[in-house]
Amino acid sequence: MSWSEHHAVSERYAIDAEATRRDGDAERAEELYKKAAHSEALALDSLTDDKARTRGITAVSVVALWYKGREYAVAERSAHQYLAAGKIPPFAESQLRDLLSSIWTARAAQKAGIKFVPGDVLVSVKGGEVIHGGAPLELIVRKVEGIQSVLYRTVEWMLARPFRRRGGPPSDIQTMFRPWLFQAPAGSYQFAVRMQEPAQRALWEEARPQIGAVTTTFFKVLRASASNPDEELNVVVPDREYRSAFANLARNLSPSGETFNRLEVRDASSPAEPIVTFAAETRTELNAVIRKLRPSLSEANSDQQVTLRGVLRGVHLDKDWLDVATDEAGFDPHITVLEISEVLDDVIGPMVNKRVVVTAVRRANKYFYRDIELQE
Amino acid sequence: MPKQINLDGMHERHHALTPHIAGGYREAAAVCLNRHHSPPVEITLVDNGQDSLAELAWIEPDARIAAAWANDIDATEAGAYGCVIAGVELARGLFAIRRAETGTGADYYIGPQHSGHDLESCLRLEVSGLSGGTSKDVSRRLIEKIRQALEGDSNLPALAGVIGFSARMLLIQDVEEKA
Repeated sequence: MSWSEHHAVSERYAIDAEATRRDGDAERAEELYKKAAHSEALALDSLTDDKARTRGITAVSVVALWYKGREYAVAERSAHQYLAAGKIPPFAESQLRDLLSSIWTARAAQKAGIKFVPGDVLVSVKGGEVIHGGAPLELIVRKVEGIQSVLYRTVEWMLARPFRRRGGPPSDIQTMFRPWLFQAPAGSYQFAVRMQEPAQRALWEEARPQIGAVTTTFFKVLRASASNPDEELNVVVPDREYRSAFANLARNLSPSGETFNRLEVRDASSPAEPIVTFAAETRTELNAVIRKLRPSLSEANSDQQVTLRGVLRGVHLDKDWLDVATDEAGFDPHITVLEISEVLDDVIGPMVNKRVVVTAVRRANKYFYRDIELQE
Repeated sequence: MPKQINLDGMHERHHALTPHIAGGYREAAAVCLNRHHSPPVEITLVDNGQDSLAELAWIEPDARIAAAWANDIDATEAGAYGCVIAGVELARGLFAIRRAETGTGADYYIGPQHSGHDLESCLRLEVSGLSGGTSKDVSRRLIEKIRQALEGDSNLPALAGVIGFSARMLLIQDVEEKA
């Protein structure tokens, strides 16, 4: 049989596998993926060395199919074999290395007995100081915390919990879903956040939303925040307080273009296409929405809007102030900004001791809070 | 009369599409289009910067089909595949002839009908779709898609296609092959 004939058989199995997986029969889907992989391997064997592109695409396809069939050992062995043979073009070598990384992660999770669910969240950070597989630690830690904050807020919102202004998420929610962080195949810098099912499912079965529903809602909220925060976010999150929280948390994820240029969020089960892309212009759009959402301040003739740039040295949410150490000419070295009751713990927390931009109104030598964002 | 983007019977023309897949794409496209319009609509087809108009018709989805495609992420993705593949067929006379798996899904390869004995001269198809958004958003997504294709390690020549269901716009653009 020719490549074309073997590949056609593999295609059919792979298409059936995908449809079966979508229908929820994961076990049957895995069997079909394995059959597809077997036929694809035969297709590869039937190719002559001069068909370099076809060899490369087919080799990647073979390994991907074994991986999807959860035959991790065979997938790993095949990838090594194709790489060692040296008969495939550089693009395929690179894709095989990425696949190996995914295979190792999946095997590690399988060995540890960790059960993950559809809708794992893949986050990629790109451009600026970020290189392939590496990124400033502080940036990644901040983005991981940011994603986790949006996930917890999503669960609280879905459970119609009272809006949280202070402190972290309630402990019951923290134990309901434990976000895990995994290194994902490098595509610039990429990591995966996975929500783990609680060990004692029965305890929460009544009140707990399904993880699949949480991640679907999470994607919806983030997508609305990034693509059309002015209109779509209104529709997706009608509650003003939660909408404002999501807009602020989404802005924390957005690049300003200096340290990094783009943050993409994908569903790990169909990661070819980012569900959400945060770019520098996203931050601009979110700024406009956040301005609209914040409560108005009574105006006085002497009011002057000022922008303070400096390091956020202190925050006291209960006493309603924050302190910015600024080195800008014309300002005191430490400025206290008042009336910060709108600020949320999970929004401002990651900004402490970081450079920030604070918008305030100066009135009779006092500064009144309007907005704060990280200066990347 | 404008040209027509034909979502019907795609499996008969596109070797890489089975009746099941083609039918699914057609249903999903109908659900996505029906969210914003009534059939038929005239859409702007921009191929490498050249504008033309094309008509897109669909059968209004019944409750069962709408429920089957209630997940709007899945619907937008599948609908985009259907519309972009049909759009490339109309604009370029190229067909989805093969499909190959990747770690993150599957890629379609396009070429002249009845080609596909190997993948040496095929174009990889990069597809994306937006349910809402304006023409500006659709253009932005195309730029994004091209950037992604160029950032990847693949030096395969590719074609990027983006459909904006609300914006009634389908953009197709060659992605330059890397040296």
